[in-house]
Amino acid sequence: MIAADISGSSPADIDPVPAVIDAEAWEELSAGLIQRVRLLDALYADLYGPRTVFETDVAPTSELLADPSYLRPVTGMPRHGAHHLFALSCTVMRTTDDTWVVLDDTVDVPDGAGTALEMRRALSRCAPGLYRSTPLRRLHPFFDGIRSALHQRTRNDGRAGRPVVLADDSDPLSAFDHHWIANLLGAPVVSANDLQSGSGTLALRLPGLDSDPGDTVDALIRLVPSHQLDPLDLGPTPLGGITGLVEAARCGDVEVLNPLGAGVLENTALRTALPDLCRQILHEDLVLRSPAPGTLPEPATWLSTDPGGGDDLVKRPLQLHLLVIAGEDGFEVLPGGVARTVDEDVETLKDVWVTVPETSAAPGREREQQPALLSGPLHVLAAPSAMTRSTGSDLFWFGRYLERVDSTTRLLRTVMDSVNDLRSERGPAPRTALSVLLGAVTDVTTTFPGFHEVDLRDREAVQTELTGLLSDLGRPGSLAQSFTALTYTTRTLRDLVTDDVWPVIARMRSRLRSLEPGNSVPLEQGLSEIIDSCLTLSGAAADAMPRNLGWDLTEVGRKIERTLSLLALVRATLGRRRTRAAEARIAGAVASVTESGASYRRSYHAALQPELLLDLLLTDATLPRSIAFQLDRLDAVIDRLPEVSPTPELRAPLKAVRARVEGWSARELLRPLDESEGAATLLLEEADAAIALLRELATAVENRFFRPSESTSLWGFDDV
Amino acid sequence: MMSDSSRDGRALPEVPLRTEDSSADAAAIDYQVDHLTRYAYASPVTRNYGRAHVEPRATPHQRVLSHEVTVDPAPARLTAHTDFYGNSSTYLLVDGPHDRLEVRSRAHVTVTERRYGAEAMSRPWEHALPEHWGPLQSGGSIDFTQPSPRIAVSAAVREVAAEVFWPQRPLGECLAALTALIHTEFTYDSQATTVTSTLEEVLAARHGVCQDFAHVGVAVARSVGLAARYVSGYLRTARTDDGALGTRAVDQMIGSAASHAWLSVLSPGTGWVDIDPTNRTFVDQRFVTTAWGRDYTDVPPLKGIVVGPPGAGSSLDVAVGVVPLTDADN
Repeated sequence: MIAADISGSSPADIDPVPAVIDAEAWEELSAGLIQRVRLLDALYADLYGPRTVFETDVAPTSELLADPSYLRPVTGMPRHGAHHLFALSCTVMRTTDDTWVVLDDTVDVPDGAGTALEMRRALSRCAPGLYRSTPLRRLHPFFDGIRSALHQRTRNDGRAGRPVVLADDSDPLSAFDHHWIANLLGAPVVSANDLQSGSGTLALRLPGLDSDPGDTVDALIRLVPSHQLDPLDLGPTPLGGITGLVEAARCGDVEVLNPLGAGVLENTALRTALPDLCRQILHEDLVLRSPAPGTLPEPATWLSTDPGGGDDLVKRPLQLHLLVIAGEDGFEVLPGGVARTVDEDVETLKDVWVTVPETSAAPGREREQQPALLSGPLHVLAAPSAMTRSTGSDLFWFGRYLERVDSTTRLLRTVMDSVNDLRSERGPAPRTALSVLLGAVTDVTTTFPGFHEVDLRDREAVQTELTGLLSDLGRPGSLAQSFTALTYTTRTLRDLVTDDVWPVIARMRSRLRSLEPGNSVPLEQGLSEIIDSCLTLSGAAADAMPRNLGWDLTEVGRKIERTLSLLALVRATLGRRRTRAAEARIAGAVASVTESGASYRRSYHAALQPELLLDLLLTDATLPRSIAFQLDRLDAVIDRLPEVSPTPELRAPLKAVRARVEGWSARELLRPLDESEGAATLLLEEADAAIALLRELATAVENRFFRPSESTSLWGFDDV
Repeated sequence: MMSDSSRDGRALPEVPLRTEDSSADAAAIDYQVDHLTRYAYASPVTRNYGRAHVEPRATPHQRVLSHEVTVDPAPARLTAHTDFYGNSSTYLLVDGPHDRLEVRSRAHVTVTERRYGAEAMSRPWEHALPEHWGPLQSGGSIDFTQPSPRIAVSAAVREVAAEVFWPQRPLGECLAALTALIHTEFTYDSQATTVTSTLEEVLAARHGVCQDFAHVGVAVARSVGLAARYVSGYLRTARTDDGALGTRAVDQMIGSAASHAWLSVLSPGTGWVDIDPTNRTFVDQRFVTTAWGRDYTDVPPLKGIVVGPPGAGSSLDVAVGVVPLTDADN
C-alpha cells in the first residue's frame, strides 16, 4: 500500500508510531523553512538574472559556475507570482541540543508529497482511534489551498490557468509520487511528447488530432530534471523533451515550476555559504543552519516501536523529509511529512504528525474550520479534454493487457487442471487431448516454440515450461510479463479511477510471486485469485471511469485482445479433427476457459460437440465471451471515436473481420479436409485471416491515436 | 628556443601595444556584415525551431550601429535576448510546411583598433592568474578558468602548455608563442574534422578547423590557470562586383567566407586579448565579433531542430560578407 508496492521493490517497514511535533516547535521549524525558500528564491532570481552574488566575497562562485546544474541558456525568466520557486523539499534533523539542522535541499524536482499522503493514509487505517482522537493538522486541506493558489497564479494575464504535471514515468517509484501530486493539484499528467511549443503557446497534443493545436497549458509542473527538458537549448534528452520550452518560458507563454535550472540551488558549497548570503540578501540571520561538510551532529531520538520486536517503545534517531510550497499567503509548509530512521537497525518510515495547539490559533487549522462558503467568483475549468497521446495509449494497452492477463490465467488454470486428470487416464485419447491443450497454451500466449518442442512424456520438462509461462519475466507472453506490462499502464489510471485499484494491483503482484516455484500456495487457488483481481479491476474501471474517449480506447483494447485470444484458442483446439473421445475432452476444456459450459447446456441437450460449441462461441451475441459479442461492441465503440480524417482506416479492417466472421458456419469450418487423424480444417486458415485483420485494426488504432506522425532531427549543431 | 621566434623560425606575431601618441591609432572601420544560411529540404518539413548567435555584439573595440535578423519563410516567432555572456541570442520558429529555410543577419558595425598596455603585456603571465585579479575584476570571470562542455585539461594539453608558458615569461610573448605554435603544429583541414571532433582527437591528429584551434588555445591557457574564452565572429571579405555577398577571401586569410572562431585571454591590467591561431595573428580591425562563451557549445552560430517526415535530406549553403563601407578601407 506504500510507494514501494508500485516499484516492485520490497516495501520499507512502516512504524505505526508517528513522529509527533508540537505546535510550538513546528512554528519555529516552519518559519525557518519558509525563510530558507525565500532566500533560495532570491538566489535563483540573482543567479539567472544580474548575478550580483558573484561580486560578493561570500558566494561560492567557482563551485556554482562549475555546477552542471547551472543552466546558462536559462537567463531572464519572468516571474509570474510573487516568487520564482514553487516548492522546496528539505531533509532536516533535530539535534540533541534541540535545534533543527538542514541536511539536504531538493529544489530541481522537490518530492515527497505522495509518500507523505500515502503514509498518512496507511497510518489512519491501522490506528484509526489514535488518528481521530489526536488534534493534528490534516494534509488534504493544505493541498486544497495550494491548488487554488496555483490557479490564481496562472490565471493572471487573463489566461485559463490550466496546469499540467510533466512526469517521468521511467522510474516507477517517483512516478507514483508524481501521479499523487497531479491528483492533488487537479492537473493531468502528461509526458514530454504530449506537449508542443508553438507561437506564443505551449499546447497539449491530443490523440489523433495532428492538425488541432489542442488546449494551451499555462503552468507546467515539471517532475523531470531541468536539463532533460529542451533539446534545442539544454542538450539531448532521453525523454525527447519539449523543443523550444526554454524560449516559451522566457517569453512567458508558460510558467515552469519549479523554474528551469533550479537544481543549481542544491549545490553543496552553497549550503555552507547560506548564513552569509542570508545576511547579505535578506538582511536576516539564517534560522536553519547546516552542519559543516563531513560532520553530523548528534541526532535527537524519537519514540518508535522496537525494531527487535520487543513490546516496549524505544527511541530512535530520525531524519524528516518536509515540503514547502507556494500557497495563498506566501510559502507554506506541509504540516506533515515522512520521517526515516537513521540508526544501525533496519530502516523504518514514520508519519510526521503536527499537533494543533489547545487554543487552536494555527492559521491552517483556522482555514479548515471555516464554513465551506465560496468567497469570490468560482472559476470552472473548461471541460478537461486533457486526453493526451500517452494517456490514450496507456488506456488502450491497459485494456489489452488486462484481457491478456485474464485469458492467460484462465487458460492456464483449466489446462493445469486437465493435465492432472488426463495423465491419470489411459489410452490414446487423453494423450492427444493433453498435447492439443498444451499446444493451445503456446499458441494463445504466442510463446513459440513452447510445448510444440517439449517431449510431453517428460513430466519435468512440461512442468518447467509451465512454470516459465507463469513467472518468467523475461519471456513475452508469460503471465508475469503481461502483468508487469499491465501495471505499467495503470499509472495513468490514478487520474481517472479510484484509489481502490492500487490494493488490487498489489494483491495480484503478491499472488503472482506466490506462484513461483518453491512456494506452497496451491496453484489453482493462486490462479483463481488472479482472475478475481482481474474482475475487480474491470469492475473498478467500469464503475469509476468517465465515459469519454479514454473509456472508449480501453474498450477497443479489451475487445480486440479478447477476440484475438478467442480466435487463437478455437484455432489451436478445434482446428484439427481428432477422435470423438479426444474431442470431447478438448471441447470440455474450451468450454471451461470460455465460461460457456452453462450456456451450452441451456442451448443444447447433446453432449459437448465441437461444431455446436464453436457455433455458440462464434454467433451467440448475448454471450460476453463470444466473438459475435466482441465484434458488436467494437463496432459501437469505433462509431463513437472522434473521426477527423474521412479515411475509414479503422472501419475497413473491422468491416472485413465482421464480413468474414458472419460468413462462417461452424459445420463448414470444422469439416475435415481429409480422412486422417489430426486432419486440418478450414478453421485454421480462416482464423489466421481474421487474426491478421484484427492486428491490422489494432495497428490502425495506434497509428491514428498515439503514434507521433513526425520525427525530429537536429541541424546545424555541428556545422562549421 | 629563442624567446622572440617560434619553432618555424619566423618571428613571433607582434603584440599590438598602446603608444603614448594616440594620434598614431588607425581610424575606425565601418563594415557591412551579411551572414546568410540557407537550408533546402528534399521534401517539405512541418516545423523548424532554431537558435542563432549571428548578430555582432558590442565590445570595447566594436560598436553595433544597426542589426537585423530575418527569416524566410515568415517565422511564427522570432525573438532575441541577451544571453548569459552578453551575446545577442536569436530564437526562431517556422510553423507550417516549408521546403527551405533562410536565416539572414545584416549588421552595420564600427571596429576600432585594439592596442594593449605595454606594462600588462610585459609582466610575467603568472600575474594574470586569478589570485592577482584584484577587486576590480568581475568574480564571474572565474567561469573562463574552469573546464567546460568541450574543454577539459589533459596531459596532451599540458604538454603544449609547457612549450609556451614557461616561468616568468612575459604574457604578451606567451600569447604570441601560443598563436604561432598552434598555427605551426596543426594543419588546417576543413575536410578532416568538423567541430564535433573532441579536443583529444584534434590534439592527437594535429588537424582541425578554426573552431578546433580556438579550443586548443583555450584549453592550453586554462591548463595553466588563466581565464580564456572562445570567440566567434567573421573576417573581412573582399567586395564583389555585382553587389552579391562578398564571399571572396582577402589577404589569403583562412576562415573568411564563413563564420570564424578564435580565442581571448584575460590580462587583468589591460583587458581581454584576442588571438587567432588559424591565421597566426593578434586579432585586429579585420575581425568582427559576434559572440563569446566558454567554448563552441555556448555560441554555435545557428542550430536547430526540424520536425517533419523521417529521413528528409537537406543541403546547406552559407555565405558571409564583411565589406568595408568606405572605398578607402577596401
